[in-house]
Amino acid sequence: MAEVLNLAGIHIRYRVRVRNAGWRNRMREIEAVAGVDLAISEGETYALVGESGSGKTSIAMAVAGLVPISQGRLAIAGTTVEGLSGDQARALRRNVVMLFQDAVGSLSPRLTVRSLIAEALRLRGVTNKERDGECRRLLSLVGLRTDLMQSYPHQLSGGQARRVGIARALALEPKLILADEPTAGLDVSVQGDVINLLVRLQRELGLAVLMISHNLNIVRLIAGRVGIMYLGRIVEQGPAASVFSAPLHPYTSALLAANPHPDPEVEWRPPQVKGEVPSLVERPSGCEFHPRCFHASELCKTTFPSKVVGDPERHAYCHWPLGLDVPVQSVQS
Amino acid sequence: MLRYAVKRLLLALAIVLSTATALFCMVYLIPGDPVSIALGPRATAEMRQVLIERMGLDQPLVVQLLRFFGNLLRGDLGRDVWSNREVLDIVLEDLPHTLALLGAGLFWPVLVGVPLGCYAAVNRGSLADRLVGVLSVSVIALPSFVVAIYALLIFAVHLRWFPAIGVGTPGAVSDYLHHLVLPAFAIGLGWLGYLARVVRASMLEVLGESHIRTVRAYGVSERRIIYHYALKIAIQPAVALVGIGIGTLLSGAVFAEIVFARPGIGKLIYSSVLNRNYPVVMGATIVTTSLLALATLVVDLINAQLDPRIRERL
Repeated sequence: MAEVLNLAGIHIRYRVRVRNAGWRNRMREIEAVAGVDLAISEGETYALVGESGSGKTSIAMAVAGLVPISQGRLAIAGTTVEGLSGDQARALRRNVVMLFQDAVGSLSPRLTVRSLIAEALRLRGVTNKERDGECRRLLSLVGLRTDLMQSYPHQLSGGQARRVGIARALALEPKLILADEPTAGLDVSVQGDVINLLVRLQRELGLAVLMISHNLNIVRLIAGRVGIMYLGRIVEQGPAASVFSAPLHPYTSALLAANPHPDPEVEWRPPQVKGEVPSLVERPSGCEFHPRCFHASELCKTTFPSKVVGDPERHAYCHWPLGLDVPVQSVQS
Repeated sequence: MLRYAVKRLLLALAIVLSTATALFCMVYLIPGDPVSIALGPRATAEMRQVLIERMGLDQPLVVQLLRFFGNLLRGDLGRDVWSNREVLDIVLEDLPHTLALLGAGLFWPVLVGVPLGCYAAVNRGSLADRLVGVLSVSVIALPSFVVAIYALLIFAVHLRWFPAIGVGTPGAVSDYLHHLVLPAFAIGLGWLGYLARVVRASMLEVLGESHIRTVRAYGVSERRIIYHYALKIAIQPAVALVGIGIGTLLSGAVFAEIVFARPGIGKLIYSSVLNRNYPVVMGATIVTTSLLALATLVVDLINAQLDPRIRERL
């Protein structure tokens, strides 16, 4: 399978204003993403999971070209983005399309559904004459009535707006869809519809999807592989089924425990995590999860853990991986 | 869009009607009656009676009001108590000068202020942005008559580039325009500041909205994002501001008219108020109100054309 997206050692840094600091060092650099490796192949669904501020959205924005990458290599469809001219980079980035959390707000308020989709078709180079027919085809592809073409975004419901967003994304014929919280703010029934639509489109068109979600139930349902992010690093990565059934990293296990189970008969265990997400401005020493981890030892406070490989497809960064008393294989990272 | 236009037109008519009624009632509330003012202290009872009958002041209030509206519809705004001329003629004589000043005084700020605000927003935090910020506040703070006096001193008295007063010889277009430059500069400078600030602020807001981020992610060129997507939304407050500007300047350009000794509606109303020349005050105010209602109507229609959300709001 061809690789659609490849991130190697990606760092994303922002300059932020720190409150309650002297005026001379108010501006600090924080590392929202600190060395992420990630590869997605054609037709694959990859989910990034983590608390707010863990860097999930920053990664998607960087892939979409909305945020500069401070360090590392980004390749789309096998071509490295760095060093390309503005036009070449834009053309390459058309292989990737981003669906934002705020579906209604992402549609220009003064354009009809027809013009919104037509703009994307124009970028793909579809001629004026063919645009109407193509627009109709895309709307029916995402399951919308074609008489919505004359509607304005504020006249659409949340679910309709999301479908229009998807139709517009498909107009570019992308290879990869970045879906930032594709189900945020929707009714549960509409959530199901949108997820089914994404799965169907992915199957029919062979799209790769990079999904960002808090909703672990949806991730479990549709993701092939998952990456668990904590403070800008992927602390555990692997096939969704095995990560969810036997997490290696204590943070993964804590996240899973915090997720409410739909079955009320299942006994609820308190989350195995303490405290709150530390500030990116002052990262903890050693393993960055140690202040919140119940398994932390002296070693965790001082030394960054090396990569633990569970099976060929899985790895985590932890000194004391769960379920493995002795690391199967320890690779220096 | 048509529905919106009709609704908005009815609203404009209602505004004009209520203003006219309020003006009519005001005459009865203001101390000093027009008859004794017009005839002076030496008037006899017969003379007063004649004038009262001629002005219809002996009729019941409702009859007077209906007659007033009837006359309005026929374009009859009454007669000047002093010169006995038709008020409509007096107003129409001064109106073109006011409209010319207003058009020129708002046209150049739009032409300069909108691109300036836009540029400042796109290059946020740059030196140019800060310069625009500081300069716009300073010109807003500067009263137009101060600008007028200094402009007069520098460009008319010292440099002799432009004529100081009047509107030029009748019929000569280039001479008229030449006389228009300094007054238009004086009244427009503050509006330049307002417009630049408003456009900058609303442009920054729109550029931060998620639909702009989305088209940026789609690889739409920055140029197209600014002109095709952002500016058409960000310009709306500026369009509304121009409407307010028209309203203010219709009768509010009085300082510039006095400093540059130009005939105009502002000056007409000012002097008529001093003379208690009620028919002229009323007539001029009704004309300016109608023009203001027309201006806001046009402004709202432009904004409704720019933004579909507005069309459903009325």
